[in-house]
Amino acid sequence: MKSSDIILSCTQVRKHFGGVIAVDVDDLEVERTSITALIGPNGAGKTTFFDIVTGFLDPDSGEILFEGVDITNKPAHAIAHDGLVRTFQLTRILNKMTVLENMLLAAPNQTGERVGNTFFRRSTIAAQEQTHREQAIALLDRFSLLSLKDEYGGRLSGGQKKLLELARALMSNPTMVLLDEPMAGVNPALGERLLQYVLELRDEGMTFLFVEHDMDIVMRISDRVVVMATGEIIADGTPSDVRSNPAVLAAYLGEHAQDDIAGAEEGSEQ
Amino acid sequence: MVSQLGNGIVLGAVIALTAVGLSLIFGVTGIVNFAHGDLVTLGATIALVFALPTDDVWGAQGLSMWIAVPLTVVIGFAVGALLELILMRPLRRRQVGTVTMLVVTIGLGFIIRYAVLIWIGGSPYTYPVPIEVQGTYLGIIDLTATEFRAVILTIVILVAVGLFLTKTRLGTAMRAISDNEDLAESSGIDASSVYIATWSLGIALAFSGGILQGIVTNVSWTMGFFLLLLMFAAVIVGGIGNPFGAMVGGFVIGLVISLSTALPVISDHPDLRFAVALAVMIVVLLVRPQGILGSKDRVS
Amino acid sequence: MTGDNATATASQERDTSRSTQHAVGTLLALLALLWLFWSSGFAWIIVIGVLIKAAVYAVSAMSLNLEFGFTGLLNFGQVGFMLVGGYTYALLVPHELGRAGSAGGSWPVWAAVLAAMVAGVLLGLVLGIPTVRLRGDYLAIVTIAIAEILRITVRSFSGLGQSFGIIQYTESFDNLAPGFVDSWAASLDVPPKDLWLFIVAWIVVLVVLGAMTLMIKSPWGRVLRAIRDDEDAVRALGKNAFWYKLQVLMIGGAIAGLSGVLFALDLSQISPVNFLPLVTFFAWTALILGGAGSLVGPVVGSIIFWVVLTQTSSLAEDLFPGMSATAVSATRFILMGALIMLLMIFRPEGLFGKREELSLEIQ
Repeated sequence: MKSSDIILSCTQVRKHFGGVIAVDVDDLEVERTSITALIGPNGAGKTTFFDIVTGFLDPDSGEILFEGVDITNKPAHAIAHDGLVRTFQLTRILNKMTVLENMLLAAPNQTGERVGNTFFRRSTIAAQEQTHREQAIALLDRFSLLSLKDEYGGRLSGGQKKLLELARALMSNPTMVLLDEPMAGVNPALGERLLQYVLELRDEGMTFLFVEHDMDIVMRISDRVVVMATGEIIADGTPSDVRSNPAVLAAYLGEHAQDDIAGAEEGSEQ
Repeated sequence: MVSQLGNGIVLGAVIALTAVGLSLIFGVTGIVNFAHGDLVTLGATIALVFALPTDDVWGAQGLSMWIAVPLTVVIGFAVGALLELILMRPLRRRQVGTVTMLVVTIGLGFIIRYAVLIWIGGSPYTYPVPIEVQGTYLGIIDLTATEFRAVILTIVILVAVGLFLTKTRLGTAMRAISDNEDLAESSGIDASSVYIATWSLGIALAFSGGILQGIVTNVSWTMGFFLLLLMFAAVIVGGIGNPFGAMVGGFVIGLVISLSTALPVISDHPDLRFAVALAVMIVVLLVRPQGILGSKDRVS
Repeated sequence: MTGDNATATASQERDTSRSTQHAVGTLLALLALLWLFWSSGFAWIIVIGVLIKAAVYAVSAMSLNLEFGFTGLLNFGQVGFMLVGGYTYALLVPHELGRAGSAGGSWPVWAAVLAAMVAGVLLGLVLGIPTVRLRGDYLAIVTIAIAEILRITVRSFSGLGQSFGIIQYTESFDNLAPGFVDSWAASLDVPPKDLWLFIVAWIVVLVVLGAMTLMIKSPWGRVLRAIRDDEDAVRALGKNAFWYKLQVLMIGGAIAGLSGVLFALDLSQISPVNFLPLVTFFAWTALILGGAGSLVGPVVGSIIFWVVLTQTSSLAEDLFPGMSATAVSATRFILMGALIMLLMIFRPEGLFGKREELSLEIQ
């Protein structure tokens, strides 16, 4: 493997619930400015792993370093503040606030979020709000959500919520983004445009780690694929490595998975 | 301090008995029943009214305590079932939020509290039971014969509840739903009948606890609301959502309250002993919020 | 996806129904005031008395609004905040203890008011630190418990007045009244003290309302509303939800402490029996009635609530002549209990609230 900057490293991360081992990851490293896919059958522990990395769950043991800093037991908000953000499998957008407000919340460093400043730094706050609004509108436009900007989050369709979560995550100018099934329910044409956008962002320096079940997407845009099953990593390599790995095929149940991978094989000619 | 041991055990028995119902209801239905204290008052009052000589208060029957008490407990089962059927279940069906359920229980508690005030007035009553002298049990515990019997009876009831929860199908179903309602339902448990049973048992226990408290002290319209605060302390210390925790917590809080009267400031201002229970509750929340027997995932 | 037109219409529809809602709410408030004037026989002394109480509870309800209406925090011990605010004020200004007339206190009014608000902040911290990391029920439980324990504590110490309370503490406040109050009071046929308290209380209401508006409409307020909606989502956006909740309890505590000062000034003497859970219940009813999560809701709700409460007391006495006074007020409280239950079930947004924005799940 090329020696390049490792932005996220997870070592010996273990978590169990009751008697069940949910996550048992010996070693996972993610390179800076790469797109890594995390795949595996349902119940493999992918979302639990995300929860642990992003601070929503404490591991029983292990060490997680982000940009060289130990974030193993850091609280979730601090990790997000450091530049490692995530989306959720079951979207957690704010239903009782408008789409635009959802976006504005994500803007980092809004002076107005400190209560004292509410009274004394009004013009600074107003200026920042304006800038953030413009950024938000630009992003919403790219995600084709602009027409919904004043709609309550709760009124959006499932696919629209997914898009909003992604847009919102990007709004915070993150260094690395963990996406949990970002394209579920999104219409293919729009999904295609967004994947291109993700590739652009990657080229500009952002790192992505995403969970996906759509093998087509996985094979096409990932630099690397990590496969999890029953909490452990069973394969880790380039898409072509993983595609032909028998352990991976065995971990998925039935022909459908094999069809997906085989179909992706055909579709991924350059 | 040792002389307070008896008081502590009696108070502990009352709290344990009443807190178990609160804990069961929370565990199975997820609702903190803020009316539980006032239901304790209601139970004590109904038994009182049965036992008082006619014309003392409206509805007084002049029955013997031996009849009044069991009759009241039976009514307790019925009231619990009714509450679930005509209030809680329709609200759940409407899918009102948990906050609404909470405020509804608070409102219900208020209604019961002030209804009792109208019914028996603002002054405390005592049950028509003979006044007794204290004896000493186990060499150090000072109790009257009635208190002693009441504590023993309470322990018997708590053991019976424990056996019910662990050995019977219905009790096991209650614990299963407490742990994970979806999982329990998918293994064939009929949640709606368990809910009725839970409320029924919970209120019967509340009524029993009210009668117990009425016997060892007196009956007044605010007795239950005050006990509610002690029940909260007991449930938090013992472990939220776990009825055994409520039993343990009840006795712990009862003893803490009574024994703390030995401390310097509190011996001069005895009412402060309740503040000690509250302080214990807060310390537990800071240090081990799931309490002695609780599980962490219930907590945040 | 919906086109621009559809969203524009949806927004417009929302705006129109919102205007109707506001109009209805305002109308009801005006009707309540009219009723107050009419049934009091246009006696200003009665009107002012009721409106002072409305002001006290408006401030208290605004504090609850910040906590529950906008952030989703369940504070069921508001009377405890009013107790610490009221007692702190009364004990710091020149006062006498209710028993054996032992006098004390020397602080000027403004300092004592500040101290009362600080006391509220501290209580908010004491309640918040153990509970903000836990489920919402815990705050509800701890607040209810602490409020009652505070009451018992005050009742235990002679230095705090015990059950005899604190008296004679209003003079320093009354003396602050400027000259015009006397003449104005004479023309309205009300005691100058009452008029002065009325003026000050409603200025406080407006100031607090203004401050709340600024805070809620700011980015800080946006974070609160997000916490009300989904605390974990807010964390995922890099914000320390626990700290925000603590801030809310502290600021809410300060406002509630302030309402305690007004409460004490209105009563002219305070003792533990004035700080029963009933007070918390009144504040909540005013809030829910007016509309949690709206800015004017608590104020309007408080006005309507107090007008109805006071003007129906005579009604009750006429309807139930044989009933004792206790029974009559107890009946009214029972009806209030029923009212709040029905409100929460059928119209939790009250008069001015927005149903879509109310968060009725415990987080």
